[in-house]
Amino acid sequence: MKKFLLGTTGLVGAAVLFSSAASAGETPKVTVGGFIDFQAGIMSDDLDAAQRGYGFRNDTEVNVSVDGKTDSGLGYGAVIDLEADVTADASGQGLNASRTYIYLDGNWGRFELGSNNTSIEALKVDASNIARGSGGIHGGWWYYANHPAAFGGGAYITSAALPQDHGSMFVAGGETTDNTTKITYYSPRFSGFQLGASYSPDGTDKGQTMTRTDTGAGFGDIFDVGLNYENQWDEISFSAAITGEWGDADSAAVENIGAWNIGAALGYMGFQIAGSYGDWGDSMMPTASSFDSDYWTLGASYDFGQFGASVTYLDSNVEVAGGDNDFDNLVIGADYELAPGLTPYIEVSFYDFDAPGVGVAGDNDGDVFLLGTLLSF
Amino acid sequence: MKIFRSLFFPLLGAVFLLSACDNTGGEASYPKRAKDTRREQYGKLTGEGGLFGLNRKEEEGGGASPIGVNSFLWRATLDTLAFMPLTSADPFGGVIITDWYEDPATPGERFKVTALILDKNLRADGIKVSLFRQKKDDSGHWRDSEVNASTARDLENTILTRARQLRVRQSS
Repeated sequence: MKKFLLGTTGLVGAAVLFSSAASAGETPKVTVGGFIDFQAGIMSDDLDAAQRGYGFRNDTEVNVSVDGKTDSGLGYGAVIDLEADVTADASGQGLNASRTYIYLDGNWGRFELGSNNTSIEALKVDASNIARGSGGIHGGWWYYANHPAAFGGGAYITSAALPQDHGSMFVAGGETTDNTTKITYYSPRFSGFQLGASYSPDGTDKGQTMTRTDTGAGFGDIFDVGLNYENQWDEISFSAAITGEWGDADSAAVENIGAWNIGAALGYMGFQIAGSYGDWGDSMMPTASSFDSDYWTLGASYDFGQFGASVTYLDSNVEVAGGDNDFDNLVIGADYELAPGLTPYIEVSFYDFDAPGVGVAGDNDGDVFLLGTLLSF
Repeated sequence: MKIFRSLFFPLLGAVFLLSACDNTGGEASYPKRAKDTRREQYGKLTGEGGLFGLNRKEEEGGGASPIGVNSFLWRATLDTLAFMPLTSADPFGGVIITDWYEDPATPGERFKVTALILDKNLRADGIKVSLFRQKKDDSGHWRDSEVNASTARDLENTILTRARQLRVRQSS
């Protein structure tokens, strides 16, 4: 009997051993990728007295992603976007990494936990979504442009984004408040509809930084909620989204964040048009004032095989004493995919910062011409 | 804002509970940030798998499978019994018969397994394993011997676990 037991146990043991050896591929997979973007810019504007009219810029990231799945079907993993630049980015994004988060997903949805973009950044639809070149109104133009705030000018909305993703209104392209540490949930897509929500306890906490300060100039308890719709009928594609953001101001002298954005894009045989309207209301304005701000975008693009071109436009108004700080930016860009992952592009941006009054020192009117190459690996 | 705060965490909890049910009917595809989507339209030098190519999708096995029975159970059974020599494997009828196998650890005792896959669906009663056992008597002849009933059940469970792993991997 003892021998019998030994034999049968051995048999099952061998079967278990063998089958678990065959399933060793279930361990999480680690993928390394990234990109290098080189740009040469030629620029000129009203505030560039005694400045050089050309410059180079190099942006590099190494992305590590981990993807696994448990036997019960729970997906899990992580995304780490390492900044591999020679110097820190002017935008104020993280020095070592711009995003690091863990995710858990399944048929019930997906959670993303960590320093990451808001859910509405991924769900929103506006003209920048169809931009080619370096990214149109969300491209590289602002690295080469003078923001009037550095010359005694005021606040402007310079990208089609709600307050957290936009960052400071006193610099363009600021990335100090996106990628805060947050919890994000995305629902699965039901009949084309997808819902997403994010929550950050603090408007500037990232990575290891965790502040408890609930007074002063910052914002806290920030909620982002977005609803996206996507569908395709033969050659026609359509997407639309409505997104909103709410947050508490730490100071009673500043209005809470309450902003929303609605946008849509329509595509047909490589042609696409997109537009959006965003309203910040009185977000972040002095409580004593009744100032509002808003923006709208419009764009068109054409994708023909390896070639793509786009025109995107952003117009924004920030109410200030005596009128509006008006900003507009027209960006025309084109790219050509030489090989998968190797894409040279050109882009020209015509922008105008316009404060109320004639001949104000903070006005700035200029253009940027970019020639670049993006290498993704 | 207070109402958001009081609703958010119960809502999170509810969603975690939802994870228990598998058939919500939605499409489990999740958005990427706009920057990544834009960059990805240009492809990658190293292809979708990235630099080390560790993430390349395995070829999809399902669809119009020529196998007459559940393909996950079929592959799981073959995987599980692969340590024994096979005499017959009929993918249309779903019959796998092994040859006699003598475990080197227990000489004088050999086994033979017949596995029947009974269903096109992946279900617990879709697999039937029969186990035969012989012992060598003093004169050197093989004689049939009794089999512990739970051993065949254990083998079935091993096959089902393996089939589930295969299915999970394919749906990822």
